[in-house]
Amino acid sequence: MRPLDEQETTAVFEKLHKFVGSNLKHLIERPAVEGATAGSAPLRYCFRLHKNRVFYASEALVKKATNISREKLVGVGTCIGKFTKSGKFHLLASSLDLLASHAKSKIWLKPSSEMSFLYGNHVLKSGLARITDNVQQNQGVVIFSMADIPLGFGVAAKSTQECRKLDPTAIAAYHQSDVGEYLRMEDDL
Amino acid sequence: MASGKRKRKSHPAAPLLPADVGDDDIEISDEDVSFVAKNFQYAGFLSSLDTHSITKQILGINSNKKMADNLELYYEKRAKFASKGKEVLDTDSAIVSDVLPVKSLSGELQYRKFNTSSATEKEEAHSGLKEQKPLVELKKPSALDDHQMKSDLTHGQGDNVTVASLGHKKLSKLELRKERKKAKKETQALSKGDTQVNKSSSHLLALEQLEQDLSEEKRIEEIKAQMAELGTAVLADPENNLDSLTELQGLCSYRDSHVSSMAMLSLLAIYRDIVPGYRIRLPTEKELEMKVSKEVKQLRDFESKLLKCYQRYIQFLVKSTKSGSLSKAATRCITGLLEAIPHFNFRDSLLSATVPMMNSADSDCRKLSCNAIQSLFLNEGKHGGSATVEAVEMIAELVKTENCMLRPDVIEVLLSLAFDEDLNRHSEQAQEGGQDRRVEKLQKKHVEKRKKAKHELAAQLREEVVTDFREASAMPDAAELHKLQTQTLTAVFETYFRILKASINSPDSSLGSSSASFRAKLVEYGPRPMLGPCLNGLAKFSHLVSVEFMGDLLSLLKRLAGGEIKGGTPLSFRDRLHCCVVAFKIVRNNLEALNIDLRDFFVALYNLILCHKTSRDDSDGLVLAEGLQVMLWETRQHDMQRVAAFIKRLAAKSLHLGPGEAISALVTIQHLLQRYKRCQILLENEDGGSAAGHLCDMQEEEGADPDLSGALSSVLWELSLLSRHYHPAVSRLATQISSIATSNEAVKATLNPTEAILLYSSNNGGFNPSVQLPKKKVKRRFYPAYSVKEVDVHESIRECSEMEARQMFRSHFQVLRDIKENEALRKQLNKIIYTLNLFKAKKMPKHRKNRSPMLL
Repeated sequence: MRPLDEQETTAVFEKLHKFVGSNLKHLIERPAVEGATAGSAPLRYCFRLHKNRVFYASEALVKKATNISREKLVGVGTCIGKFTKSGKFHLLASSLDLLASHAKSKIWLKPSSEMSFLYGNHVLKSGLARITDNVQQNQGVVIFSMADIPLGFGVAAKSTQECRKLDPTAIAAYHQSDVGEYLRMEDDL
Repeated sequence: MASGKRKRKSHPAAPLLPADVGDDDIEISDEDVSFVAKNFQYAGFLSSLDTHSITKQILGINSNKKMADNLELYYEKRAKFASKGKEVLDTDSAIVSDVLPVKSLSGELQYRKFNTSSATEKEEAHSGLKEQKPLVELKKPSALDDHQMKSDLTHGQGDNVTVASLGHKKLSKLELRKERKKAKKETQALSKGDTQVNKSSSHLLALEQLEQDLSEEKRIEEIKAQMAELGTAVLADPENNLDSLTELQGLCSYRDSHVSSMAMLSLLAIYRDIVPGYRIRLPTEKELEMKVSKEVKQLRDFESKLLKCYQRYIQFLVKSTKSGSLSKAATRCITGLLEAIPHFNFRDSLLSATVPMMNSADSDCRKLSCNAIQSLFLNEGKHGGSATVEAVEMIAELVKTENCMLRPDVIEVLLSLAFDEDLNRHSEQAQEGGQDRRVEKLQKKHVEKRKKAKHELAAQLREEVVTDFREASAMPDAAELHKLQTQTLTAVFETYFRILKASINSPDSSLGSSSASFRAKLVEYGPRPMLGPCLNGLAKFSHLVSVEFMGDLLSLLKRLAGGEIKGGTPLSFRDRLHCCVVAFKIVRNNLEALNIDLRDFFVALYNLILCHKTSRDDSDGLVLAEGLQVMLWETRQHDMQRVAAFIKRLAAKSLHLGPGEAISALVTIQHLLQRYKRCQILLENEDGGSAAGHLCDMQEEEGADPDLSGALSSVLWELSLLSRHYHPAVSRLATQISSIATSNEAVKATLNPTEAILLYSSNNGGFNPSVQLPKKKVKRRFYPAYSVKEVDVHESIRECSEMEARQMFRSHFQVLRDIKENEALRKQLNKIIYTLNLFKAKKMPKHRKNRSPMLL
C-alpha cells in the first residue's frame, strides 16, 4: 500500500472530475469523523494504491491498516477503482456512493428500464425519465432510479439539448458500471 | 334672401373691387389732407391707432369695416345675429355690401355693375368663410342700408379718394381711417351735442378693444359652427363634398392651437366614418387608359381624391406630433386612426409615428399610443394580422436601436399579443403535409403513363376547387395567418433575447455617454427597465418557445438567475427569482420534449432564499411565494438531498420572515414532508443523522449547492422555535408539521404558498386573520360595550357603535356641566347671603323697620 504518484493521481482525479466536477474539492477536503481528536485539525480522507486498486480511506484508518502485511491486506476504506495493465484508471461500482453524493449531472431512469440497465445495457432515450439540465456530451453521469437510489454510472452519449430531439431507441448514456456487478462479477470486485 | 335685398336697394349695387392692386398706386389727395388738418383735434386718435391689430382683424378683407364704423349698427347686427344663428353664413350677400364706389378722376362716383362671374363670387365667398367675417355679411334692413349708403356718398365727395387700384391691405387701412371719421360725425350727430368729442373718441377706443375681444371669441365660436357644418356635409355625402375636407385641413394650421386641434379631431371623426372598408389601390396607367363606365370613373376619382386628402392629413399629423402645442391632439388623432381604420392606406406611417411615441416622456401620449398598439393586437380581424407583424417588428427595431434603454411600456404592450395555441403543432402538420406530397410524387412516378394524363386533369380540377373555396370563404387563409404569427413570434422573441442579453452585459459598459442622460430619465424604473416586462412576456409565451431556442434561453436565464453580471449594478433579488420562475415555466410547458432537472436554478433559488429581506410592500414576498410554488410545490421529482436542504433552509429562514411569508414557507415544508416520506427523518431528534447524509456532511452556511448541504443528516430544530412564534397561525402550523411523522392521519395541506401569503399577510397592519384574546375573568358591568374580545382595532371600533359612544360622552359631559352649574349657583347664593348680611348690619344701627325682602 502506497500513496499515488503524480501520474496516477492525475489519472484518478481526471476520472473523478468527469463525474463530480468542482465537487472534487469537497471529496478531498472532507473531514473525517474517525480518529479525530478534539482541538486538533480534523483528519482528512486520502487515496491509497494497493495491488493496482485505488482506495479512498480516512487517514486514521490508513494508519491502522499499516499493521497488516501487504500480502494479507485485502482492502482498506472504499475501493473506488483500479489501474489496468496498460496504466488506465477504471472506476468500479463500489465508488458509486461517493460519486452519487457529489455528482454534477444525473440521469433518472424510468422504472421499466431499471432492470435493463442493471444487466449492463446502455440507457436508451425511451428509458430516460429525467436528466439534469446542461449535461455535455461525454460527461460522466450518475444514474438513479426514480426513487433516488443510485444504480450506476456511465457517460452521456448526447448533451441535454440533443437528447430532446433524440430517437426513442437511440442511446442516451453509455453504461460503465452498475450495482448489478456485485452479483454478476462478484469475484472481480 | 340676398337677391331680394339687392332689389330693394335704391341705388345700384356696389361694384366689386379690382382683384389685384399695387401698393404704390395709392394717392392721398390734398382734400383729404386738408380735411385731416381742419379736424385735427378729432383726428388725434389716428396717430395712436393700433394699425397692426386692425389690419390683423380686417386682414385684407374690406367686409369688416362697416361693422367698425357705426357701432350702433354693429350692436343691432349682433343682436340679430344671435337670433338668426347660423343662417348668416349666406355668402352671396357678402360681397355686395362691402365694396365702395370708385371715384373717377373727374370726381364723380362710379358704381360698378354687379356682374362678376360666379367663379369670382365663389372665390370671395370662400375667402370670406375662411377669414370668418360673417358678421358683416349680415344683412341690415334696407332702411339702414340706405342711410349708410347716403352717408357714404356724402362723405365720399368730401373725401376724394382717388382710386385707380387699391392694395388690399392699404385699402382697408385707408378706408378704416375714413370710416373712423364718419363714425365720429355720426356719433356727433346722433348725440346732437358737439360737446363730448373727446369723450366719444376714448369711448371708441374702449369699444374697439371690446369688439376685438368679442370678435376673437366669436370667431372661435363660428369656426366651431363651421367645422360642424363642414363635417356634416362630408358625412352626408362624401362623394361630392370632399372639398370640405380640404377646408378643414386648412383650419388645422390655424394659429390658435385650440382651434387647430379641434379641426384635427373633427377630421379624425370624419375619416373614421368615410374611409371605405378596403385598402385603396390607385389604378395603374394602363388601367387609366382603359375605358370605364361612368360609375367606375366616379368611384376612382373619389378614391384618389380621398387618398390625397388623407395623405395630407397624415403628413400634417406626423409633423405636428413633433411640435409642442399640438402634439397631444396629433397623437390622439394618430392613435384614433390606427385603432379605427388599420386596414387603410398609410398605415405604416401611422405606425412609425406611434411606435416611438410609446417611449414618450409624456405619460398621456405614452398611454394613448400603447393602447392603440394593443388594440391593433387584440382586433386582428380589422387588418388581417399584417399590422401586428409590422408593429412588432417596429418595436423590435426600436429596442435594437435604443439599446434596450426604453420605458417598460414599450414591451408591456407585447403581452397583449394573442397566438394560436397550436402554433407549433400547426407547423408539424404542415411538415407532415409536405412529406405526404413527396410520397405522392414518388407514387406518381410509378403510375403508368396512360393514367398520368387522367391524374393530371384531376389534380388541376382539385386545385381550382381549392382556390375557389378559398376565395369564397371569408376566413383568412390559415396558412397565411400562420405565417404572420410565426413572423410576429420571431420578432417578439428576438426582442426578448436582446433584452436578456443586454441585461447581462451591464448597461454601463456597453453604452456610450450619449445615452447617459436618457438613462437618468429612466432611473425610476431601475437599472434594467425592460427586464421585468420581458420576463413576464417570456412566462406568458413560454409554451411557444421552440425547442431550438430553449437551450440558449435557459442558459441566458441561468446566468441572470445566478447573478453573473458583467460589472454594473447587480440584479435585484426580484429579477433573479423571476428568472428562475420563468425558466421553470418554460420547461414545464414544454414537458413533452424532455423532463429536465433544472439543477442550476435550484441552486440559485437556494441561495436567493437567504437574500430575501422582508420589506414593507409585499412584492418581494409575493415573488418568493410564487417561486416556492412553481419550483418546489408543483414540480414532482426531486432527490431527497435537495428536498431536505430546501426544508432546512426554509425553516431557518422563516424564523426571520413576516407571518405571511413564514406561513407560505411552512406550507411548502409541510407539503414536501408529506410527499417525500424519507425526508421525515429530519423530524427525528436522534443524534448522528442518517446514513444517506454521511458522505457529505459539510453544513455550510453559504452552501452553494443544496445537494451537498448534507441537510438529511440534520435535525429540524427550527420548528420548535417556530411553534412559539408570536403569530398563532404560524405556531399552530409549526406544531402541526412537527407531529407529521407521529400522527397517523394525513393532514391535507389546503393552501398553496401564494394563497397563504395573501391570506396571512400582515402588511396592512394588524394580524390577519385577527387574533382572539383569551377571555378575561373579571367582567366589567358598567360598560358592557367596552368588554373587548377582539384585539383587532377595526373590529372593536366597529363593534361599539357610534350611538353608544355618543351616549357615553353625553352622560359624561352632563355630569361635568351639572357640577359647573352647581358651583355657579353656590357662588351666587354666597354673594346674596353676604350682601344680605351687610345690609342687615347697616340697617341695624339705624333701626329701620322696612327692609327690602329680596335684593335680586
